Amino acid sequence: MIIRSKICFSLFKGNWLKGFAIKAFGSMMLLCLPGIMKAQSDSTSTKKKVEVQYFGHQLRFSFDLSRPVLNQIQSTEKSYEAAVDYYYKNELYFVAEAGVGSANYDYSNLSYKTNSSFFRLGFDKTLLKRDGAKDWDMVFMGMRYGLASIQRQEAQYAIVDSVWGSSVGIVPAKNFLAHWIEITGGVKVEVYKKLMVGWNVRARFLVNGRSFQDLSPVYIAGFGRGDKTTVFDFNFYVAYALRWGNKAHEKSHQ
Amino acid sequence: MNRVVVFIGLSLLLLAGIISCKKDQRDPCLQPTTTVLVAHCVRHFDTSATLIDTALPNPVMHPITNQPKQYYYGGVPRLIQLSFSLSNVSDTSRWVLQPDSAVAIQDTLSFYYQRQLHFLSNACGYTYFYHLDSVASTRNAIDSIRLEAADITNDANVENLKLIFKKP
Repeated sequence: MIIRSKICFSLFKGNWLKGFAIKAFGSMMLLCLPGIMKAQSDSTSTKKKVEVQYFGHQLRFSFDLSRPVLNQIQSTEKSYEAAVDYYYKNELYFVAEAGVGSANYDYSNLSYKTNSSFFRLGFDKTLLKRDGAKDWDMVFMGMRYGLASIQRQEAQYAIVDSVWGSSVGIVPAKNFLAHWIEITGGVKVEVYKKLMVGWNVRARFLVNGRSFQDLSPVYIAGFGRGDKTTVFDFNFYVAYALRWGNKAHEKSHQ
Repeated sequence: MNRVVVFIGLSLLLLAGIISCKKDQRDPCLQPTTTVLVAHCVRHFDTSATLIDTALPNPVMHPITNQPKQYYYGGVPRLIQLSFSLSNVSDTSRWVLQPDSAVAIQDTLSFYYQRQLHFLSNACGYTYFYHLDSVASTRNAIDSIRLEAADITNDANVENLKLIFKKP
């Protein structure tokens, strides 16, 4: 019950979350009702409310474990991703992510290779307030801006025509820039001292999709399919956190 | 500690589910890769300029190529619309058209065009689109030819030519 009321409080806490929460988690309203009612009864029973704010610094280094696994499964694409985030204040984290990747697209009618590297900048906002100064578990949503540089090597194509004869040719190498906006959400929990694991799901929206109309790169590291303007992805992180200056501050008000 | 174990278990399940959805297969090609010139068969109605559809009784067509194997297309009676493939290795293609396999009258059509390499998708690769400059023909069964749409793409619904046949 406590957790449920906490989730509801967090969902309705900020204006930017409010609209999204109402639309995306409309069905959760019914689940939240008991929690809201309990919160209301609590507020009427006590006149003086004490709010505890937790301060502190956390710098977290994350590595995406899902990429090495996927690299073994997918023969055409390889990529690696890592992230750094910093706890600013008020449950807000600034995030920087980067990585590299490559693709080897090798089929009889079209073959080429690409190399790409990327970075993403953005923030995560936790949906649950911290329970204590040592509580760094998080359920979060966030946004990113991503930029990738792609080098496509020259591509070889073949057009098969049994009547007139087949033709083959080469498309010159080309460099691209891709940039996109993404929405992300996920969970991170501390499994051992300063060692955390967690996952993100992401929805990405390519901003300059028209740049890829002529032989779009089949894979862009950090984004995904280069021939799609909207892609969904996930990460499974293992992270190590550096922390300092953790303390609690009580703020009481009527 | 139990919560952590449950979290890791659920996360691994999620990871396994998502990985299982990731496929290591090429997408299927879901659009036409062949580009054909579409010709509509018509004839003049009486002596007026009005054109009416005419179905060729039993047409036989074959391209004039340098390939060792020659292809013949036919066996479909009463055709109103004909499709001609164009060479992607030269800027001219020639076809022989016999409107009725039972009658030894045939015409040779020569298509002059510009080729334009066109990227379809990673799944389909490349193909050629064409811009038709002119068409020449002998005048045995064909009376005249009218160019309707010069750009030839993989859209088979576009009519590129009207083949106006002489009255039977």
